[in-house]
Amino acid sequence: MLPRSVSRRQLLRAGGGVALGVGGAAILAACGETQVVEVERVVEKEVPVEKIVEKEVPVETVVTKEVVKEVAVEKVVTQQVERVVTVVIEQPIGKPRVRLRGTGPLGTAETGIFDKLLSETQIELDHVEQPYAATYQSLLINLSQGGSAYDIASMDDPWMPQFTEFLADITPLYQGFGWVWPDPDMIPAIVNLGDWPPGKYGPRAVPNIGNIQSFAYRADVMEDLGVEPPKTWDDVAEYSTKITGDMAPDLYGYTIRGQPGNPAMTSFLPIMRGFGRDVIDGDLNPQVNTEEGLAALDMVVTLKNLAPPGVENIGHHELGKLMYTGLAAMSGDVWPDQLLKMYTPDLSSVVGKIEVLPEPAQPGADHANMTGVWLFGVPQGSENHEAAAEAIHWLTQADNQKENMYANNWPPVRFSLMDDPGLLADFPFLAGIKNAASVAVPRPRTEHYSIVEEIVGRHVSAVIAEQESVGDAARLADEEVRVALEEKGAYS
Amino acid sequence: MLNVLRRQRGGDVQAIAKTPWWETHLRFFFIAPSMVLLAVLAVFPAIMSWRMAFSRVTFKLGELEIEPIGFTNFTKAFSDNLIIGSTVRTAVWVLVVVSAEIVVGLFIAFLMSKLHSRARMVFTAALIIPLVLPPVSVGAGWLVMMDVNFGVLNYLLSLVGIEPQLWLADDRTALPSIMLIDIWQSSMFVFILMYAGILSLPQDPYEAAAIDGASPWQIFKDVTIPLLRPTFVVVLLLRTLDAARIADRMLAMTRGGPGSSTETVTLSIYKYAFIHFNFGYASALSVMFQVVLIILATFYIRRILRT
Repeated sequence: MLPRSVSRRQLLRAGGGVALGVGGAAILAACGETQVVEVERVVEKEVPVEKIVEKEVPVETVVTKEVVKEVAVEKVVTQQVERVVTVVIEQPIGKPRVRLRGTGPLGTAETGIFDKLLSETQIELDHVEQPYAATYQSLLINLSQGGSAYDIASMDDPWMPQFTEFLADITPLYQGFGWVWPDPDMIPAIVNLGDWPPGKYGPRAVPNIGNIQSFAYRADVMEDLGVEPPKTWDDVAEYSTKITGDMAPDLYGYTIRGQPGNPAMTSFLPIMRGFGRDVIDGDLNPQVNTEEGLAALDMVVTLKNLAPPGVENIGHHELGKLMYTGLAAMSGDVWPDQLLKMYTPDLSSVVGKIEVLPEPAQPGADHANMTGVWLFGVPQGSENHEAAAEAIHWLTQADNQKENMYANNWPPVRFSLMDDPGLLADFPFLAGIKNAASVAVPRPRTEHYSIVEEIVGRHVSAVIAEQESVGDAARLADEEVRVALEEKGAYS
Repeated sequence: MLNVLRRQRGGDVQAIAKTPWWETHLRFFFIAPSMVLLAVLAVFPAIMSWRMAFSRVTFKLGELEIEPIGFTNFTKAFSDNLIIGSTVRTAVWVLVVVSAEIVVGLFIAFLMSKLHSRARMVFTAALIIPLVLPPVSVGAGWLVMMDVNFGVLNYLLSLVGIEPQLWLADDRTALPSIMLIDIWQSSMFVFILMYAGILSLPQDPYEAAAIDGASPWQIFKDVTIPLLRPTFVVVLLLRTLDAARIADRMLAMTRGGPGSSTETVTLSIYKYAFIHFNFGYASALSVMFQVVLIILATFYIRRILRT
């Protein structure tokens, strides 16, 4: 007989009792005997046993689990378990499936590359897609803290000096499978980007995307001008003056990226190197406020004044658009994905008119195209070193690199593909990229490069926007870089 | 009667004495999960942030090396030109956008309150569209529209014979351009609060003012505005705190440029933390920023309580 009315206290007690009862039951269930119930449910109702064994569940795991539970279950369930065992014995025991997680450019799921990886290697690769800056931050935190969030890290080459010490050694992993590392078909200069400090660890990362910055120009415009393609930055300035003077606003001579940080720095670096000096020297001393640095900044100002309006706030995509819409005739900051757009008839008004060269350089200085290579590494904290190495080996095979070129315009890193007649026919600019690759150099090799890039890139942007004079920008950039690197203990 | 009361009181005392400890403390069990979450997700990071603010933080494999260095990170901020510039820019940003948003939001709310109820529904639905869009998407969209060479804004200007504008590409116009976008988006938030405030105002003062022969402007100035004061303070509090934390829009549209002309305090903190990986300095800047915002919030909240 229930009482007529229930006080709040009684209600609370009753509620608490029910909650405790349910909680207790859940705890007991988790502890033991009720596993029998779970087995019955799984086996009898929801999971078609043959299907699990044949398709989805690693075979050994199922067998072990079910046999252990066979002791506790009733007769009917035991019969079901016996059926499982029978099936397993009849089937060849396959390789267990492994699930990995990777970030950075690994491939695009739409092309089916991850499905193919799964079917050929039993490795399921979860791709954590993030923007460039977020990838860097997430990798730095995960790798440096020995985290196991990622099994495969796809890294831009300037990050390598920061990351190599946190990566597993590829050599023994490859040797375990009987593979040769470094792969003799891969371009050694690109493979060596994963070796930092040089010779200390050996190459700890496997290159996958052979991105090379190149100097692109309108061959038809040069022909109209009656000049040879530019070889020095002075040539570029001279031709740009002529083009902008004669043809603006329909066509401008040169284009450059003006957004602060990485964009402005990436446009500035080939110019600075073309004047014979890098932004920092081998001892990490800043070099912008030098004769060559000041001349390079003066050249930036000259070229900016010959560029389409608005370059003060453009990034990678906007620069590509200025080129493929035919608004700019030259740029020293062109990357393969932009070249593909310039060769795409639906997008481009300059199909077949663009050619690619090594970056210009002043007399006495070396041509210096910049690498933007992406490399695969296995984080030390990963719990799946062998499987990760196997996936990396598979992803970097020639067939897959070729597929990536067609699907994503990721240039290959293998000799055999750089000379592939089919690829060269479909991507005419690949020959130019190969020439650019022959003189390519990485960005300054230091674990503090991101700091240098942010500071110098900010001041170059200020010069492009006429916020700072060339002299002030050079002085401030050097001062700030020195202070920041001192704080990092770079000079001690 | 008195005896009855005594018996009842005695009975209650007896009942309390018999109550088991877990029942008297039951409320703590209910709030415990959220307190644990709060401690893990908010309190612990805040404590770590304060600790790092007084330290030099270095990444080592598998650990963070935290070396105490006193007030060095704090004193450095006062000689950091980037931070000084960002602070001034952020202050100007807050002042301009919050003022403009209040004016625009109040104006729209006032107009809406005069509309027929069906029209109100339609316009309200249309007006809150900007509010539900993520700031980064809004930034990306406006970036395309403000493109100097290919943007629709310059195209529209060209139709009426106006020269193309540099919008985000000129250090004099970049910050005002982003302010316009923020005002366009966030005024709708102010409008919603103001509109709710206007609809809940008592009618008596209006009737009294009408009887006294007050003009519409006098009614607005002397009746509506004073009655809306509590709403104003809430709007000011929420918008000031939110506007001061602006970074995502700049990151999406200009990366703080040209040069550093659109760099705000939070964007600078982000760069020091995640590009320089100087977590000590970034934490010190965050702590100082936090203190300033807390002082502002306290000021506003006291105002709210007083009104």
